[in-house]
Amino acid sequence: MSSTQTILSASRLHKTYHLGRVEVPVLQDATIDVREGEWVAILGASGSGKSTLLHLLGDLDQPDAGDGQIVFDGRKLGEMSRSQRNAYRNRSVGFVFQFYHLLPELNVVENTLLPGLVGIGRLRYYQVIKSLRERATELLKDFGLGHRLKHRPRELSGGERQRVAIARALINQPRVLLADEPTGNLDEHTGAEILELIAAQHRSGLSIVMVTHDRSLAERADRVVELHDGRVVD
Amino acid sequence: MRTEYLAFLKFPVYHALLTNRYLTTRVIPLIAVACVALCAALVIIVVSVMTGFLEKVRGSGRMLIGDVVIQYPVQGIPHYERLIKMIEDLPEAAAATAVIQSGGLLGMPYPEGDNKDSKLVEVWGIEPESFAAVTGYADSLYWRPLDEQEQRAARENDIRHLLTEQIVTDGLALRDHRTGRPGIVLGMHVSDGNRRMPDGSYHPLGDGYWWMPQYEVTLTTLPISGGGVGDPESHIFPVVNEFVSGVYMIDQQRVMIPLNLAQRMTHLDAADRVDPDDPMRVIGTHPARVTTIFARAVDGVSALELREHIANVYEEFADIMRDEDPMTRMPVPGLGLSILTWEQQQAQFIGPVEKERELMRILFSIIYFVAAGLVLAIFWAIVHEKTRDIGILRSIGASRLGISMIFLRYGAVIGVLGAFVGLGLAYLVVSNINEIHEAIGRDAPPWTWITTLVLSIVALSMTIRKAMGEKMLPTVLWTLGTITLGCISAALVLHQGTLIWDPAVYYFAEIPNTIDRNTAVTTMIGAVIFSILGAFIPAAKAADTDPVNALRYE
Repeated sequence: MSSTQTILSASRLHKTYHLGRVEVPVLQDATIDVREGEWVAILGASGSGKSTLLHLLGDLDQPDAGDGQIVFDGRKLGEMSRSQRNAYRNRSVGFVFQFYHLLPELNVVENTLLPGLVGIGRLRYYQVIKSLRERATELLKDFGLGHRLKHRPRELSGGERQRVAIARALINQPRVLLADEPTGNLDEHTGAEILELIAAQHRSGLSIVMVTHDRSLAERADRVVELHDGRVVD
Repeated sequence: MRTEYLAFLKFPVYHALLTNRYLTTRVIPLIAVACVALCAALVIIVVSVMTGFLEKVRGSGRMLIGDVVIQYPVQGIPHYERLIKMIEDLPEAAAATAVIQSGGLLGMPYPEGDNKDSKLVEVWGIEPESFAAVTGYADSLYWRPLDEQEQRAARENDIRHLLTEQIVTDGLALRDHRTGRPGIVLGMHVSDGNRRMPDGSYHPLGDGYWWMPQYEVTLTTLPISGGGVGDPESHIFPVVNEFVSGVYMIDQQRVMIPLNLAQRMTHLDAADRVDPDDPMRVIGTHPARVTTIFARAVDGVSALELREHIANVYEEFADIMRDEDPMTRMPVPGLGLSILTWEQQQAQFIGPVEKERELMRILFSIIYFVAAGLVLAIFWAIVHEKTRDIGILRSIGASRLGISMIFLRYGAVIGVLGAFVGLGLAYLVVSNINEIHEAIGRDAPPWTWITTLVLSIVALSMTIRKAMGEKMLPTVLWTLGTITLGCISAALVLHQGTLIWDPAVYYFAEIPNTIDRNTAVTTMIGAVIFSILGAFIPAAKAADTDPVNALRYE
């Protein structure tokens, strides 16, 4: 499925958190490559730094100063302007979190539409809203949520919430999906359904980086990158 | 970085969407709106009443005395008819009128029996026609027939239902048409028998029995001249009407009588001039005098301009009269004779009121900071509560500035809503302030305290019921409700009726009841600005929220 072209790569990443005077190294010299259309699973125990690595890849956090760098489609994130990095999070990658992280005040369609609305002004809104809404509705119907469009997150089951979160991550047609323990908060059956949904996206050509602590889930990916105490050990 | 700062100029739709949802799905922003509204309403109410008070002082001053006042008390201005003619010849002057201002004792027709009341009054002798041309005298006459609309609104037993235009004609002429005798017009509060009703109308005691225009009064004056105090002069007048100037101090002591009679009663009428060496020999005539001349400017001419012209005319007049009547001493401006605009005349009163108004404006503007502080505290809590949402928004590409703009916009919306609700509240209070005052002035009707008592008992039973449940919040809320309703009920039982706005103290019979537009506009703008300022710090905090920590926040 995957090509030989690298879409997202990270090299020699370090990340240290400061808890008062104590320095806690979370990532040490982490390097990872994700090829176009590849599904990479980052496997590790709790506290191994896998979520931190995902956050760095998605520009939610910055690596420590040094020679480490993250490159997306040939462009270094560290050299991008703030607005370019905002656009990167908005269009180039899509996040799926373990706890879904939907906005409770918005209904299912609005939550899904939200990334589409973030990057555009009011003028552009009137030009794109119809097609954006159609795409959101289509995605949600594909995910079996056609009857839940106007529902609020609190009215949905865990599996349904995660489907909405995936639809939201895909609304801007990103090149890479970043999933942090996407089934970690679900029962086995629902988790399997969600994983199948992600697998379907992979089959349609989407690059995926999935963080998990479950080896059986990781084995669904094209490649597994293991992290141990902040170091890549594959 | 620069592009990011300019991005918000695109007015992203998600700002509006989230602001709208945050506003409509929670109670806490409504509390912020209520706080801003109360603050704005407080400022608008206080400053509007003060401004209305000031305007009333100004308006009544002009309505009652015209634009310019020439005054020479006690001895009076001789040859005043000539001066009035010269003033009226000025293109800047619309009209001028002569007035005698003096004091007197008024014998009232009440009570029944021999021992009648007397009252010290301010006597104004006027030429009704020219006086009405300079002042608002004609409009101030209270007793007049009602028009159709007024008839519908008036009480059934309102005396005005029975009146004809004749009573207005009599008031304007200061003459009783039945007998042809000179009449007197009293200020509405000169008679203790007139009661002001809650709707602002007047109704004499005894269900109309003590309606003054059916009685006669005796006016006694004590003529004072340069030579000393003369013998008292008395005259019986039929009351032909009563006037309401709106200024309580005037309405309770001023009476109007015809000028010629006033001159006679104050010994300022024309009299023989006798030879000091031979009192039996008449050598000429002392001209009639008046103590005051009022003048009104034509439209477009200010009182100050007219005053300048009149000052020049007076110099010319005095020179002519010194030539024509050298025996009569002409008053000299600055030496007892004053020529002032109505505003200068009332400066001693207007000045302090103006300063008081500005002081109130400044003091009550502190309330803006209270509003900003409240918005800050409430928004701090909202941002805290919305930390995870901020992380989510950052993860889908929202900029830091975009995040802060959501909360600034939120602050602006709360400011705008608060300002409009505050304006509405202020309008309700100010436009009904006299009714509210009347209600406070009466004992609370029994149904009010009975209703609140019943409600407090219901709340108490709910408190007991909720106390048996597991949740504490409902119990606390019902307890507060019980205490509040109980206190209101007790306060209503104990309320004896308090007269807050005593007309005798506050000069006017009514509390000003119109919203001051300038104050309303500036207060509303202030409410919006300070709400945005209050939202600034929480908005900056939101912008600085670390998305990773925010996403971990539970």
